Amino acid sequence: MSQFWDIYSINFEFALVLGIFALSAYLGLWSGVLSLAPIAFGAGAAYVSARLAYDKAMIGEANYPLMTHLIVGMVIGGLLAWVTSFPLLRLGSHYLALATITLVLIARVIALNLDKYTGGTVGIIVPRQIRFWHILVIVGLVSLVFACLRKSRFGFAMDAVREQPEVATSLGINVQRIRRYAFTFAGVLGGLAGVMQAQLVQYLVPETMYVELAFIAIASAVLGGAYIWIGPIIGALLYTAIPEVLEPYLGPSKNIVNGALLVIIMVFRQRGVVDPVQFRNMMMRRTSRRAEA
Amino acid sequence: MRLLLQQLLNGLALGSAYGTFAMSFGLIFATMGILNVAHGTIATFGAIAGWIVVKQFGFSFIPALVIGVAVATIIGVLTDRLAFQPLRARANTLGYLITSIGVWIVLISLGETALNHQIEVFPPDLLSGPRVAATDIYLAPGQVWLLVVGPVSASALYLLLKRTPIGAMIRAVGFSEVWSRISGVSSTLVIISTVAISAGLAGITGYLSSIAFDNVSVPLGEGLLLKGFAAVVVGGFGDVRGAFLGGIIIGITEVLGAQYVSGQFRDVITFGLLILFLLFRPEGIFGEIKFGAVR
Repeated sequence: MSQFWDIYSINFEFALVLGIFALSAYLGLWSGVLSLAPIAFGAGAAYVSARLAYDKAMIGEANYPLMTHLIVGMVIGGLLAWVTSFPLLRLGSHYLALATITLVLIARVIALNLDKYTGGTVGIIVPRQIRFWHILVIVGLVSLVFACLRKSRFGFAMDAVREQPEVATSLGINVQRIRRYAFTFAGVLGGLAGVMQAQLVQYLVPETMYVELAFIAIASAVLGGAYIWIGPIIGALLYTAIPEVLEPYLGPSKNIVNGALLVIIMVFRQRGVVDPVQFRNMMMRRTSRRAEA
Repeated sequence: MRLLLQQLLNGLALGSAYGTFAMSFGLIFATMGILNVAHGTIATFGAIAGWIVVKQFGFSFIPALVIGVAVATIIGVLTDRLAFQPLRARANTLGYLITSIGVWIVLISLGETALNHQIEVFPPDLLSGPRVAATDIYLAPGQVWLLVVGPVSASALYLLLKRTPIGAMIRAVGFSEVWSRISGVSSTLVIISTVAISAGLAGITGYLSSIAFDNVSVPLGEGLLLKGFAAVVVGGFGDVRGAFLGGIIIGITEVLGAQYVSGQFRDVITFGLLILFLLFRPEGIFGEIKFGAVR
């Protein structure tokens, strides 16, 4: 068991951080916006946080406690998201999706060219301060926030905006404002996950948080189920676990199976693995059967 | 002066590749709402298939082009049938995006396996035509092909969409699949032909670019895809002319920027342009979407 843990704990850590990225993508979807932007904000936050530890990073020591890095990451991510939300959220859904992808592309170019601060292609060393239990606590806290959000006025407002923006407007919900709040909160989460990802990799280059990660994050969110907060986390765990399970049987072609599985799951379960509506129906059927008996 | 002209032509050739690709990518995005992340890899397969038949069976340029386009078209249509068609009844852009990510992962693995993780080049004598060398200006034969094929296919696609019955059908299905079916348009046939046109164009672009830039590899298609996103943002995806022009603008700014400003800052200028467009003209040069998406 402990041997198993030694081998797979790092995968588990990456899976949980991917889960936070997936949750940030899910926040966008929850307010009816397809956005890959949190990955760009995560990259920005990770660079600022890495710069904080820069002068001692070479010897693997940190300047500030982990908490400082996480908070700085969240503030930077949130600020970036808030500022960019003004031009971006004016766009229609198709253009918005494209624009957030280009934001990820732009982030890489900026990181490459501010090489005085980011190390350019060479990158920058990040001392690792985060431990496994830190990650568990962070994921737990984030889940708690989401669980509270789900039954809050804001959560219901987001449900309405996602399903029918026009109806939401007629109910007196300011759609743009709800989307801006969700976008900013997604940026905060992106920043948090970005700092964690950089600490796990212990090295930051412009491609650390790039299009691939953005695609995988949104895929995990939808694969797990984009209608409840537990979905993205389960999606991220599944997405990381499936190739590991298949590795001994398939070797390098495991990626092909992984991609094919993504297609198959989406074709047969369009609402993802975890679907609260289906769960509710199942429970209702069970209670009604019990009532009949 | 000579240098400027030379670089302008280089930029036009590069932009022609970006533009043709952006057009093919924008076509299915605008008509079906599919943000096909695997589209760049489909272009790569045009190049890989061409390279394999040239290398293994000694095909010459034109037959290899036909094979490359055919393979890309088949992959494109298969992708649509297996990954997009099952979602069509109730899917939105998001569902298509996720399945296309799945296809993208599969195709990248297959492509890397086919190339054995190498970067290959076509044999230099494949296109033995003399380099165009008028008054000291040099263009590789591959670049000349790109310069010709880009504008020709852009005008052809534009005329096809605007002036022919099949174009009208494609636009009708783009506007509303249900209504076009009520009016007697076979939407399945139209969707398949749209996808075939789009994937075929991607295949041509991939094949010709891999010859022009001496690079048969998986990253080739990914580069086309990312620049294709950029071109579509600049030009607007609702209009064939916009996407093509967007590609040309990006190609020229890239080459001229690298020449006159700084090679290092080559992408900064491109993406700076992109930020300007996102801020001030987010719907692209040609503005409004001309036909809605099937949702």
